[in-house]
Amino acid sequence: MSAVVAAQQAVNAASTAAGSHGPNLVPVVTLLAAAVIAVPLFKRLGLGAVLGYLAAGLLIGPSVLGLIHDPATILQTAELGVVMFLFIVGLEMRPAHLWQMRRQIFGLGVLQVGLAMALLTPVGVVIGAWLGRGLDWEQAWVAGTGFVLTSTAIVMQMLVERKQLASPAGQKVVSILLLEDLLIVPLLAIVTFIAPGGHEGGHVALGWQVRALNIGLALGAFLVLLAVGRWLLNPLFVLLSAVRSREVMTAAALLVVLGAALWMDLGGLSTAMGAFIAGVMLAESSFRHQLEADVEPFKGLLLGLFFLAVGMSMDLTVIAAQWQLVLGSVVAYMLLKSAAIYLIARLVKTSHEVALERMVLMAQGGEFAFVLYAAATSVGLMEAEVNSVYTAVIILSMVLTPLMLIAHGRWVSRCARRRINEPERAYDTEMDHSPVIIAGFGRFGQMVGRLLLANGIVSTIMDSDAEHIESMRQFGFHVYYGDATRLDLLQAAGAAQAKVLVVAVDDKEAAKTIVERVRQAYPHLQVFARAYDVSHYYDLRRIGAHVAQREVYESSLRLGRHVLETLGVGAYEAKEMADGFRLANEKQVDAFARMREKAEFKDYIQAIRTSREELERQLREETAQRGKEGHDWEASERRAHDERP
Amino acid sequence: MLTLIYAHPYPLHSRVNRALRQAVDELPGVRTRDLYALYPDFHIDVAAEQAALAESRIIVLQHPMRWYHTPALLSLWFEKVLAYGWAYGHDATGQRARALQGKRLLWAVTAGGAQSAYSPEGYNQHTVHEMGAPIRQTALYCGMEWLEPHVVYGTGQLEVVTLAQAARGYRDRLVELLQEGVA
Repeated sequence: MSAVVAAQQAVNAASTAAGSHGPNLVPVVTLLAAAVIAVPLFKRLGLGAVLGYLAAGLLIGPSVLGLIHDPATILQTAELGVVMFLFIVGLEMRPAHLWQMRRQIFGLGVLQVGLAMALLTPVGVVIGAWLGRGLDWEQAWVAGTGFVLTSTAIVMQMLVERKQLASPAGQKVVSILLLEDLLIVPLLAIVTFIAPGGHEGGHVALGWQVRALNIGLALGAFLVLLAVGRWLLNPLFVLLSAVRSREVMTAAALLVVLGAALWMDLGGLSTAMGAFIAGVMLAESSFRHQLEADVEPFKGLLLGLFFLAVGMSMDLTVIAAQWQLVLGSVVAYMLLKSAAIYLIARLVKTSHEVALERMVLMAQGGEFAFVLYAAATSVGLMEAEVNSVYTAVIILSMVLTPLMLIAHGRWVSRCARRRINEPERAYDTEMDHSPVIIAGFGRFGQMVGRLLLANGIVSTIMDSDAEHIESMRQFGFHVYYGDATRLDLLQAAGAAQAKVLVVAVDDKEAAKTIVERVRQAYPHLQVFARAYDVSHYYDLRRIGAHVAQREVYESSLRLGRHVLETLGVGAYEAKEMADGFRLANEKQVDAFARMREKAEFKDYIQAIRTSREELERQLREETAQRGKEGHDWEASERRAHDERP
Repeated sequence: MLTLIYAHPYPLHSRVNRALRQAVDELPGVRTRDLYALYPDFHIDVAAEQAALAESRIIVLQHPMRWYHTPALLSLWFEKVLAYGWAYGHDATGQRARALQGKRLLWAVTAGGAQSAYSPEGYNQHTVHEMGAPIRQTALYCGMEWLEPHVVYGTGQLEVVTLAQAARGYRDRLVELLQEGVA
């Protein structure tokens, strides 16, 4: 403990010293150092960046080391990170796309928020009463509603990290988040409305005219922003890009984001909403990528700062003093919110897996709760102590989210593994036989199967992905459920009578296992295997596949031909070039395969090097011969004609 | 409508055929089908080829001589496109198939050797016209009118000026053919 005190004193001394000449860099350096150390460490441990920031924040904050004294100011600045985040999310969403999502936003979002609100409000009353510190209904409603508003920053960051932002499930989550961002406006209005004395005609109270005016003002601000985005932003950027100054473009991007945020704030709406709308309005602009690149680093830094600040705001003394209330509330809120999310998701026919994931992802309170609580406290609806307790509840739930996601991920993968080992659905053992068996009916197997089918050959197809089989059934393919690494199932598929086995599974090791076992058990069967790359090709040939084909080989040659054509080579000549290349390459690959079996690894490497030099030499010669377009060709043509009989 | 069936495996390296083609490509009523560009893999879209022929009054086969014969793809084109039940024989309903009946065929061929080489005294021993016998007979068998072939000799030795003259001659020939039918 004395070390901590010493460190704190040193920092204080340093900051005082620094303050005397020039800007005080200590907090900035501390924050950056915390991020630089904690984030890679947590990522390495598989705990994710968000948790790293939170932990680092807690460590340097007032509760532990106290290197930073005033997390509230930092949090304010850092909320700009959330604003920029929403701008970038907006950039990726065209207005038409947003319009398509309207049902999700207002349907799914309202349902989830409504149910969660109904479930969470009594918690404050019940738990409070149980611990002898009961809240009244208004306070309990504010506390619960704060928790209903999910953390856009955390969830979005998680979606990005897991590359789910564009997936249908991810888009539904985004829809709900958007609705919650919209809701902060009426919620703040309600808070002032139900404030003590508010509806009893006290001088704090606002008349309905004023309130109508406020709503009108908000709507007006919203419409003005839409208009500016629609008609002004693009011409502005066209004008600015003519200046050809990188910094001006960056400044303009930041100006748009922060300007929109400020404008919405003035109109009484959320800053994040403003940034989001600005983003959507620019989504179809040709400057989209430039804007994204400009804002991205600021967003990343500020968002990190935001998480740091949240960690710092965690007041351990409050938690320690009221730990029963805090823990009880966290557990009750998270459980009930989870229940609401899951129920609503299932109600709109989302699958169990997706509903479960959404539940884990969204079961925390968000940054808007801080705003809501602050508003409630300022109008006297919430006592300062209650505020800090529930703020601690929110922060704790934010900290728990990444941990729960990790636990959920482990659980899912364990279930998946169990499902593989003990299949729920029994493998098919009654299969129609045919001369061709196709193992694996993904992109590769499908092409083979369809080519055969188009010419009247019905193959016996097996795949080990039950879901995939179901989806294939919709298209009229009868795919048997079976694992081709198992000889009994291959026997059931008719391996003893078939002529050809196509091994088109995408798992490299599984493919090798199949080839190996089949070559032993059914020596008569011609084995055609899909190879992942050259080295997989070698392996497959070595263990006895009669034919192996690298999976992207033909398509890349084909694409190369088109490139040649575009560069001015005739279509047929390009085909010949590709054919020549294929022949040379296949010869070379086969030569290496033999060498690899016989020679030592060192010789093999040497041979590859020599051959590459030989290939380069050939290429150089070919290039030199080809020379300028048509020139040498004509000479040789002329020679050919002259020498012709 | 005149359909020009163009068969040169390396059109971008061609000098004479390219010049000839360019001279007529833009003529109104001429539609060129560049076989080696359309079917580099030798997979001929028979239906598309037949449709193009059916719409045309005049068909021109333009190609360089390859060993006294057409380039391989044009050879395949005859096999695939002039199919039984369409160009000759009987169709599915038992009707006599004569899709090309009455159309006019012009063989426009370029040869590396000089005209003197293509004569009984020359080292090629036969005239180009004699060598065109299989193509001529194919046309006649399908009921087409065989036009006097358009031959450009000595492609290896053609000077810029003579090449331009040859191109103009070819163009005039096609213009003449296009007008003949209209008048």
